[in-house]
Amino acid sequence: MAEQYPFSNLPSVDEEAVKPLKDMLGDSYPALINDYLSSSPTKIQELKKAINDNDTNEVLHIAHTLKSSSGNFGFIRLFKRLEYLELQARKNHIDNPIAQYDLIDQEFNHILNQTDND
Amino acid sequence: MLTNEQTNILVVDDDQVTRHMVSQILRNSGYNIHEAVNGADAIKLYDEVSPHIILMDVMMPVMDGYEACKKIREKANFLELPIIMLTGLDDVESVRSALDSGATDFISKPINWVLFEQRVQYALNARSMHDEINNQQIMLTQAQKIAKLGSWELSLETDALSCSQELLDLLVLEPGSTLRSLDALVDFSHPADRETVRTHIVDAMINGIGYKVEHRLICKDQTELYVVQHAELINDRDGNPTKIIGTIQDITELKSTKAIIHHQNYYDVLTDLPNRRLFTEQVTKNVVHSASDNHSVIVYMLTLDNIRNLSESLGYKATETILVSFSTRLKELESESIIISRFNDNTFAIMSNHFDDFSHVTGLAESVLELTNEPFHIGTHDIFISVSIGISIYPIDNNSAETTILGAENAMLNASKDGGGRYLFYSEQSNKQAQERLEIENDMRRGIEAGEFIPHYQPQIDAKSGEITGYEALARWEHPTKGLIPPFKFINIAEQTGLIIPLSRSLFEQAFKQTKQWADEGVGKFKVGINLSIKQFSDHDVFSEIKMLLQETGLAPEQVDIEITESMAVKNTGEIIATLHQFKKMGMSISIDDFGTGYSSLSHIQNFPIDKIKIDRSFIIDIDGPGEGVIAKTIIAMSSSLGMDVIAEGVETAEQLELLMSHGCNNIQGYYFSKPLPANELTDYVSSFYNDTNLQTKNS
Repeated sequence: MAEQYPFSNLPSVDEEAVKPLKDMLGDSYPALINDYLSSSPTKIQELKKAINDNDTNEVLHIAHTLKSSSGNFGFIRLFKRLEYLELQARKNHIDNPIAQYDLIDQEFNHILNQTDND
Repeated sequence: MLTNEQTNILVVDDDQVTRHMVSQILRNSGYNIHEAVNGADAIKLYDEVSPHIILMDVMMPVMDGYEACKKIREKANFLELPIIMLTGLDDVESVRSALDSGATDFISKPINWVLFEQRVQYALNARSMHDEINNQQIMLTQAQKIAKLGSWELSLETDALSCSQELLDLLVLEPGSTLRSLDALVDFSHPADRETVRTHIVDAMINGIGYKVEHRLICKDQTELYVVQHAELINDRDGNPTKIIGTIQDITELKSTKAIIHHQNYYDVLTDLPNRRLFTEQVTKNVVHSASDNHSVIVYMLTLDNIRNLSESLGYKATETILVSFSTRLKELESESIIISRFNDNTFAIMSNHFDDFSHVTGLAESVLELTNEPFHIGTHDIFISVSIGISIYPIDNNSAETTILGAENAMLNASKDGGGRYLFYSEQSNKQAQERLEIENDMRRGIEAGEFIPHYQPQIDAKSGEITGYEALARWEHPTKGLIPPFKFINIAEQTGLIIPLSRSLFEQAFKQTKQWADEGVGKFKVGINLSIKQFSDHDVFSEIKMLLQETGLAPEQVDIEITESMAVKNTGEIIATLHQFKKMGMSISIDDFGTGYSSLSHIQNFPIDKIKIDRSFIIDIDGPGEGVIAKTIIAMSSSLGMDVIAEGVETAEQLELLMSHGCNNIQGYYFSKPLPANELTDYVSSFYNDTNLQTKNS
């Protein structure tokens, strides 16, 4: 897996990106991150269903959406994993979709834990 | 430029989290945010909120960002509305698709928040600048339309010309047509101005400086416009000219307004004659010029006598009618050398710069007096009103334009005293000269009736054959108290007053009778030369008169030689030639007098039925002098080649006679043989001439 998904060496959060974002959003940041954290589990569940159903189009759409919001919050490792999945879905050929999903789910849970700790 | 609060931003993204993030960040900076969840929603909101910028995701359900961008571009062009695509797809193909669909720029996801707002602000600034330029362009176009200003630009590298729509409109060219070269534009100049315009352009190219020129344009619909054309050269960094930029402004209205204003300033409203201002300016101008060309300026001031009293009794309308009527009569006197003006209410003025002698000055004054011989019609009334005239002459009477005008006004006031109807000069000296002239004129009238004008006869001799061939009849005035008066003292007055006609008739009649009598008595069958003046040709049927005189006196036409002057041959050619042919047809011969003084060309003289050329005395005096009579010799040679006779006038010495004969001129008139003689002395001269000749012949 490490060779196929070479994103384990990336930090989970790009702090350099997050800091100016927090400055710019100010008081609005907590509400927006909450919005992200609360809406994303549903999307991850939908992603799992799409993978199980082998619905590549749906995989593509969910991965794209989740990728954008994750990336914009500086969650760089999750962004990259979703981007990889999106790319493969676009080519209509997903390697080890379950394994990829697991890593995505893992990473989101990691983010959840990290954010709770904050 | 808009403030952030005035700026509407439309954020389009189906992902609520991203949409909210972007919106919140921009909202925190004070912008007005509107959100749409897909392309179709974005198009709807665009129509409602007219955003100043759109930030749009690419991948969206219902309608994606590319499609939405294309549709919005149908409503707003690239420069009017920036559309920034927010895309997670940063491959080349996606970027190209974004730009192809009409996006201004793109921002890749994940968004670099440090640069995000700057990118948005930059796009908004570019839009504002475009708005500003656009507004300025609209203002400029409007201003150009109002100012009727068109522009053109010529590339000096390619010779390509581009014209503004305003210029094409100015030239009334059909929509869609254009001018491709500067020559095509110059061709719209009025033909008379075309060379001037071209010269300005060529000079500009050679000297590298702009120009300004006023000229006329003939538009496509043949309308004529007055325009002012400005052009400047534009140089590259090295100072080499690369193009010429020009403007053409329609100033037709300005021109006509100027012309109207000029007319109002310089012409009298009632009579449309030049007013006091223009008249005074013209007098001043002529006075200044007179210093260089040494001519006189004569100012006449005219007032209708008792016009004020008339105004009180008949009303100002009647006065105006009379003034207009009088001005119409005055205009009949207009010529190149005079200016007629309504100087003020009841005063008219005339300026003339024609001054040969006093006869001309008084002649014009008399013509003005005659204008009031006919009554003025007011309603059913015929009113006779006389005119009083004051005359002042620069530089004789006064030494400036102002004093000359004032002098004429003073003289006019004096002339209007005691009933008016006369003219007076400003100075006593001028009045005296005018008086003398008037006396001569009256005296001449009396003298003509009394038969005081008689012909003297100057013999014309053929020196080779020793024969008297004829004589020229010359006028002399045998005045009862002043003695014999030579012609130079009265001929001019006779010509100007028309007295030349009765005077000539009397002289011709006497000369014809005398010539006939000498022929009958056996004194000799001589040819009599008579002088005709231009006045006799123009105002009078001189042919009928001479024909009648010949019938009355019984003189043969072959004994008459008609003499005209060379200066007459130059003027009024057609009429004179026709009359001369009539004389010729009857059997009379034609001579041209004073030849060599009138600047006529040989080809011109050939048109006249001339038998004989008379060489002027001024060339005879020269014949044995330093010039060696080149002109006289030329005239003799020319006459010979044209088959004409030649006679020399004013021959006084044996040397002159000898030289003339050596060059082939044998016909001689002059004091060497005889002065002009009265009839009784000519008889004696003839007999003694032949006695002497016979004696010489016998002796030789």
